[in-house]
Amino acid sequence: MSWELLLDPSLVRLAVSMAVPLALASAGELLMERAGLLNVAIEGMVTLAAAGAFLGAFASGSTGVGLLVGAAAGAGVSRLLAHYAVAWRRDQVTVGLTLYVLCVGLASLLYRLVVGVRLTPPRVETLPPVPLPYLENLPVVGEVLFRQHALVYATAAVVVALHAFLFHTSSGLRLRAAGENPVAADTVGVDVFGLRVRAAVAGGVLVGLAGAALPFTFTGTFTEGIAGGRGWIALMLVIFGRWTPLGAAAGALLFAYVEAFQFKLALLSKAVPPQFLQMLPYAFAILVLVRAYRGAEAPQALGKPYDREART
Amino acid sequence: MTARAVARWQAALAYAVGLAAALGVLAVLVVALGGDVLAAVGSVVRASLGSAAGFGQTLNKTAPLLFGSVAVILGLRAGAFNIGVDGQIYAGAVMATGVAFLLAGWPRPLAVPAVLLAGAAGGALLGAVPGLLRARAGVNEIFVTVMLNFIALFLVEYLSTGPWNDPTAGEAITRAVPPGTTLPLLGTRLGAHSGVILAFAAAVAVWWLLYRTVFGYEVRAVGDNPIAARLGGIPVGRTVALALIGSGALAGLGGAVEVSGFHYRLILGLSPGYGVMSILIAVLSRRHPLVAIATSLAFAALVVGTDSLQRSVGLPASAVFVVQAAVLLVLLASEGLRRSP
Amino acid sequence: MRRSVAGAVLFMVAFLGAAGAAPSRPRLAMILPGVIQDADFNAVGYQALKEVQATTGVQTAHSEQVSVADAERVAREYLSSGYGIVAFHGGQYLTIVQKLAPLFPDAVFIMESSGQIPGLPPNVWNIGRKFYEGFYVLGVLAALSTKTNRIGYVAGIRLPDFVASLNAVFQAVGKYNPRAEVLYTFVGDQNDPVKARQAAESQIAAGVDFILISVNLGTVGIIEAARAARRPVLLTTFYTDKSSYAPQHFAASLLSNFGKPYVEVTRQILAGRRGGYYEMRPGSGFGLTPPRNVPPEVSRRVQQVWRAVVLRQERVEEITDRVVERR
Repeated sequence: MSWELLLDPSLVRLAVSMAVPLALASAGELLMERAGLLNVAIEGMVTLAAAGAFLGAFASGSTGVGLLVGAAAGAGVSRLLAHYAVAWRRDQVTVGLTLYVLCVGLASLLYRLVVGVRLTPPRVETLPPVPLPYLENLPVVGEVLFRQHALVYATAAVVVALHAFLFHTSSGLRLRAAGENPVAADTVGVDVFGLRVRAAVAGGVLVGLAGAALPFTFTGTFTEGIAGGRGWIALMLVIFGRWTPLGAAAGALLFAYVEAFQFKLALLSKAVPPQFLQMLPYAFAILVLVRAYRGAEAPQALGKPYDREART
Repeated sequence: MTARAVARWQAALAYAVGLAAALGVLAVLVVALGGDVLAAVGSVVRASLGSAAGFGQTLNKTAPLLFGSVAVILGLRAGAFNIGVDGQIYAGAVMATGVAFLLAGWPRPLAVPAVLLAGAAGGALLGAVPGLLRARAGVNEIFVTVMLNFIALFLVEYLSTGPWNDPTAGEAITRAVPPGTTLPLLGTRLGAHSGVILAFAAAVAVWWLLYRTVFGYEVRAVGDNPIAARLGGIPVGRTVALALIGSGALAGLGGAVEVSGFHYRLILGLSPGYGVMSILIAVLSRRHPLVAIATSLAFAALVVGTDSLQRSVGLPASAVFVVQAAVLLVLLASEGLRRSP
Repeated sequence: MRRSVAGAVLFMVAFLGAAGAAPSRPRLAMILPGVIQDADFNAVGYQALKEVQATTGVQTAHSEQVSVADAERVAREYLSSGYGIVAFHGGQYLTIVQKLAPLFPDAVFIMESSGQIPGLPPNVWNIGRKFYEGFYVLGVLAALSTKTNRIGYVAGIRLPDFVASLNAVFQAVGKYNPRAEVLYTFVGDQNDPVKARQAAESQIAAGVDFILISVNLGTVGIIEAARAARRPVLLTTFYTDKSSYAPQHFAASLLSNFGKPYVEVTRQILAGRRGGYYEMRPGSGFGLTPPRNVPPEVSRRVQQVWRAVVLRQERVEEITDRVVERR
């Protein structure tokens, strides 16, 4: 296999845009997990946000409104999750999976109520490519990185900003403390409850944008099962990236690349049944993780409700 | 009345209030979508528990949910989160189908146990991957089990559309397994297969394993406090790996039961989200295998009962999901309200 | 208290049971694999159901998004609440029909498949769908329209129907434009638009300028790939006309009118014929939208071939178990 095949610009360009929903969703999830909230509703949130974003844009005629609705849908669901998990101290996995079912049902129900049963369904405009001045003319990279749609650049900015926030600001430190050791954080005056709720809302916005990216960059519409397991993949990318935004985003790129590459491979050779090629991204992810996994740990208090009275 | 009895009454009251509120949510949704509330409630009851045929279907739905939730519980008790129940159900179903094809003509008392064992082995094999990776390399088992779900699904697609495909079906379905390899029915009126009894037995066996054996003690010790367990001389890695292998075997057995009890074939779509429901049931049962029996039954009744709303009052499938989730959320909220200061 | 609740439940059950007692005309229930607002396979099934109700007066009901694992249960529920006809929209329910039909000899079952099936119970109507004959004509359209001599075919799951359709495309291309090449991808999911788009983009990057779509909801991803492509890419789809999504990119659609077979079969059942076979093929349930965005002579030629296939003057070989690439 030659390098030309592996580094085909059209392939890498595709992988970059495919990585956007994965990277955004995993950034949102990561923010919540760092604060101690495990959000297993993520696949449902992506689905609901995709429906909300499409319906918002369809009803208003504006992509901006659609993006807002998608973000609000994500934020609303994770706010609800935070209420159950933080205020009522319910088990996060139970609430999360229940919300997952709720979101998937709600997404489809809303589409049915707004659009109805038709043979020619509506479509909204997808985001156009926005070439960045000067950069777009760079050899190879210009084509691959700088002639993308706006969400690609926004995602890159979000990932870098989130990384800087978590590891280079005092607020980021407090947030991580709430996820690592809420008792100690509380003792030094960190508002653990408030922080977790705010992290949930901010993380929900990012997950919602990931959902919105699906209709606005790939399909122009909402279809049943549009998330296609990408929410679960995002959840995995957080682990893969060892709870760092840059790591998770790198994982998203790698995963999207192998997925896109697999389709190219499928065209070149018919010797292997396609189903085995389709296993590639998942098997590859396990292999990379085994090689790269050295003592990465989840936030200590992840998934555990914080109870001020029940100090140990 | 003792404090404990008071607490119990309070809990019962909270659940009653929660159920009433859940019914309220159901009524509101049905009315909003233009249905008849009385017909809706009647249909939920009749489809799930109020008729022999309905109860039989509830039992059939209970089997995979109970196998799956007990599998999750065994993992959780060792401190390992098995999200791979779907994949393990499929792996079990694959092995069971393959072995059943080989055993055509064998007497049923030999063939059926062999098929079930093969299913357990298939699930165990898929459970061994995250188990060994976690024990040897400390790799996160959640990650590995989720990835294996996707891989198992592609394997089933390959087998059901390729080498084992039934050409007359024109779909992702394999040929039927030989008649001598299938589980008997529990009476034709009920329409339930005997796999649910195996599921009950599996739940009791896991309870016995966890609370009556040395291995079970070690599993619980590792799950509660791995550092203390290690200091106490328990081989932590090996225990976690064995628990995950056992967990996979239980889910795989569930897959084998679906093949030899219900479908008589391997089908893509054999597990419509049983993995997610199994986790929900395991956690709601507070990781106790005997409680999981009741929770699985209740869950199956909820799914089967509310599913009938499509037929009886014309709710869309999506609204049924919303109803199911709303019932759970209201129950969780009623519990939460009771506990919050 | 407890007794009165139990009494109320029992009363309700008895009441509902009485309400569900057999009416004079059989009622028809349809079980569909996906949601009816999909503007695709399930929407055309639902449309057929409405047509049956409107033209025959038979009362209907439906359950959507029923997985194979749940379909037997749902069918039994319809049967026990008095539905005399249960229709399964999709080939994946064959085994359930084979199991239930002998258990409920008084009911009639309608199922769909790829063709005639030997040994079906006497109370089963089988609708055989010959998609591949339609895809042959779409293949002719692609063969005559491609400028790069590279034609793409994107399907989801490697089902025998889709393998047969792909082989029909190979036959059409081999006959009408032997210099053209067919690149095909099975993406593993009929309804994942993101995967379908990736596959289509790979094909377009490899020089394909005409894609025959054989996925369901994945279609929207392929449409977006065509819109984003730098050179013109033409598309065809099936089940419904999706040209409103991208009027400049659609060359034709293979339309499925399930209303035709369902109304006909229901009439036969009402007339007392409780089992049989109905074939859906070009001219009988399958239609072709007039080709667009192609030169008029191509359009004329394709419609000629369509008529020849309808009249069985032009024969298409059905190969379901392997891909036969003829160059």
